[in-house]
Amino acid sequence: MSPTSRRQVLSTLGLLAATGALGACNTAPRTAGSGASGAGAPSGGSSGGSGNLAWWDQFNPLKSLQEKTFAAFTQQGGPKVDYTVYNPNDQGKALQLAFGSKQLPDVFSLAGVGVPVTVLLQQGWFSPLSTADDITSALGEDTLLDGVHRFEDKLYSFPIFSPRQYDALLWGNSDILQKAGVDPENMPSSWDDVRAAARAIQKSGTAGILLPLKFAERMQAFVLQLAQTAGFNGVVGGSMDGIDLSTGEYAFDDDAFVQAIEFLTAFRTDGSLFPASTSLDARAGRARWAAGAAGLVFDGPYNAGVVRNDFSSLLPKLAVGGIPTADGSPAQLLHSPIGGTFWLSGQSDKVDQASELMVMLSAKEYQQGLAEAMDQPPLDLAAVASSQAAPSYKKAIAMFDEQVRVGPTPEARNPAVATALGKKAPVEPSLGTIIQGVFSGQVTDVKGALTKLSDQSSAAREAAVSQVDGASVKDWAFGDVDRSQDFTAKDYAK
Amino acid sequence: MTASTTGAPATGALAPRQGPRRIGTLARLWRDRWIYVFLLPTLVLYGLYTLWPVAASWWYSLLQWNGFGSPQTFVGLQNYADVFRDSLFWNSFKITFLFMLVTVPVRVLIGLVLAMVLNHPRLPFQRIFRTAFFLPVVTTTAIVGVVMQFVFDPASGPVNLALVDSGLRDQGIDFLGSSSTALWTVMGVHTWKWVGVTMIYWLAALQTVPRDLQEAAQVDGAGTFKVFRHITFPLLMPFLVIITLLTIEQNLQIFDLMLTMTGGGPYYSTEVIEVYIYRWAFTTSVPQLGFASAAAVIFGVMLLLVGLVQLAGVRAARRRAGVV
Repeated sequence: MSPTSRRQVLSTLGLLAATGALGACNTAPRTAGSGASGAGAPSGGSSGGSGNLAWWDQFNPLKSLQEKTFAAFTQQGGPKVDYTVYNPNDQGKALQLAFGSKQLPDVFSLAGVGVPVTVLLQQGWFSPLSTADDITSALGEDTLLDGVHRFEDKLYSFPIFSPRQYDALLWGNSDILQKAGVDPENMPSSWDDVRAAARAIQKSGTAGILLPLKFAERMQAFVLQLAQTAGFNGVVGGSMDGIDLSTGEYAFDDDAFVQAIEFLTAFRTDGSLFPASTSLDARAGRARWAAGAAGLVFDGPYNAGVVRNDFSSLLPKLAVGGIPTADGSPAQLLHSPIGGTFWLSGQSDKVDQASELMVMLSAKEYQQGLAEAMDQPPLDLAAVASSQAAPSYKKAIAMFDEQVRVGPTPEARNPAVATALGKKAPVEPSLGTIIQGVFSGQVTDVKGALTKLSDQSSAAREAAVSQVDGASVKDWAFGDVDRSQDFTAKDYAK
Repeated sequence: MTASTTGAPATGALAPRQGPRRIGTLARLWRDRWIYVFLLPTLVLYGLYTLWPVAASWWYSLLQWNGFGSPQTFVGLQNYADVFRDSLFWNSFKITFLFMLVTVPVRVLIGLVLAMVLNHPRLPFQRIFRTAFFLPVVTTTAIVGVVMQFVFDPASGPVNLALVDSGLRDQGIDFLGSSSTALWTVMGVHTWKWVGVTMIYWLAALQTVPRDLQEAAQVDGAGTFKVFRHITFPLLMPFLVIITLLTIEQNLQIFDLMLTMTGGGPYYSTEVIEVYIYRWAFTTSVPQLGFASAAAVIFGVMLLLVGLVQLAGVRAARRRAGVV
């Protein structure tokens, strides 16, 4: 027998390596029971799977609450939960890839997915909850809307957060405010007062206010909310952004929007805007503000939770005020209903187990945990008052309770609207980008840019609606809505 | 059939061989099997990660598709028409070419100057300097982009602190947040990051210049400038063409630095075509993969044209240098 040549050895090793590499490249779902989860079942899978449940979301501040809930679920006899917290920017792409390769997790949130849920539903992304009755009785019938959470009489998801919220709370660092002569207990309430406070802080040696100008979507949210305080008859959130509630027409060129943008740019004119604002998104801006770079910042209620987790020494010094209004009168905002937070995968083979887990999220204990996490306000706002949340967070939630009401959404009136929205082409530049352009000096005719945005948005919507039977532009018009009352499921029937 | 086609000897073992034998395709494949086995990983990976995405982009550019799920509508050349109608595409086109027109000459020139200095036989610490200038090249571009945000921070960045402390400015310049400075700032960082590569090209080219020619000129009384003007530069001309063309192609691909430093903003003022494509494919509320693919195909064709010019340029340069 001839000795083995070097070539034979190399080729054998090469073949072995290639075999191993090909085996490692196999990303096909493992079979149930092997420890993998949420995969391998055909669309609309059944409920008899074994192995762990997989859960993806982007709620980093809720991580410990989620882990606690999952541990309790396992203790009660449920399977273990493989829990992944994604960066919101990355989750959409991960879900997109997972769906294509039939590896969606059993439960997931929809961060980064801009496609309407009805379109995803038609493609087989979701399974209905098998514990719909338990969840409905825990949350109340009014919380759940057809076309938003319920489709063809099947419940697919539910909100864990309250729609009574906005992002433009005015937060301050008490030490810096007091040094500038601004009362942290009575934060400025009118636009002029905020400007005066920012100027005073600037004079005292710290930048007056920080705006996360690099984050176009957040700046857009600020202006949409501020415009309502200047008299725009709109609803924040969902597909109603920039739409006049009474007519159903896009009205970004309403004077209230121009005034809101002018209010924000006035900080730059006054010299009280933190100079690096243009390079900061919400997360980086919050960190710079917490480090004492500026006295004031607009931010959502979750600011308190982030401060407690990352800048705990600042927590006792947090001062908070409601969204300032043009004339200082109490704000009255409408916010669209909150859609489903978590969804069951249409590819899951553990629908029953995942549904059981979802029931735990509708319980009072979970709502209490949400309050203490100080992220978005829990669906049950009353849970906050009795929680261990920081006083500033409690104050913010109390203001939401007074100032925000639930507005209408066209998807709940007519499910065909959601299909049309899925076909609507994005319009560029968006409101947020226009705001950036105003700050960078490239957009000088604000009214003109907003008029163009309204026209382009209307054209895109009309083109989308024309492709969908049963959808109409009139679905966005709600006539005279009482802004002091919630728009409930019963009101859609009127 | 003849022996020459089958490869079998025509007249037994003692017959003289008449030239090289011709063998069949299958036999040749079997004979060279190890060549193909070792080529296979490269072919598979190249096919998967280069050829397939290119082919897929061409197909996607003919579809209306949001990238979520299966519904894909064939729309023919509509996406191309939409791209050509979009003023922001032409804005990106203009910025991409402005970037290239400014940075290529600067990079080529600075690279040459650095190479000349570092090639001087009496310069001490040559290796240290060469390493120092090449170091940014091997640094991850995304990290450079993020670090540069801090370097150019208007409130606390070292550049602005130096400007304010030295009394040159009352307050910091918003280098990356102002549309009048953002593109120029990225151009500067890009040149700093990549000039090391151009410098290495020039250093290699300088090794081809015969030193005895330069020394002869110096003996005849030529100064440094005259030696460069009449000896070195004419001999470097063919390399100038090649290095310029290579730099053009590199400077058209600036996605990572632009995305990390400015994200294309403020208000599209630094949105090069690659960022434009990325925005439509991944960051809009509803991704427009068909539209983005059409823009990508147009950009690819543009790069192909640059490549063809490059090829012609290299051939011309080789002819000029007397290389066949």
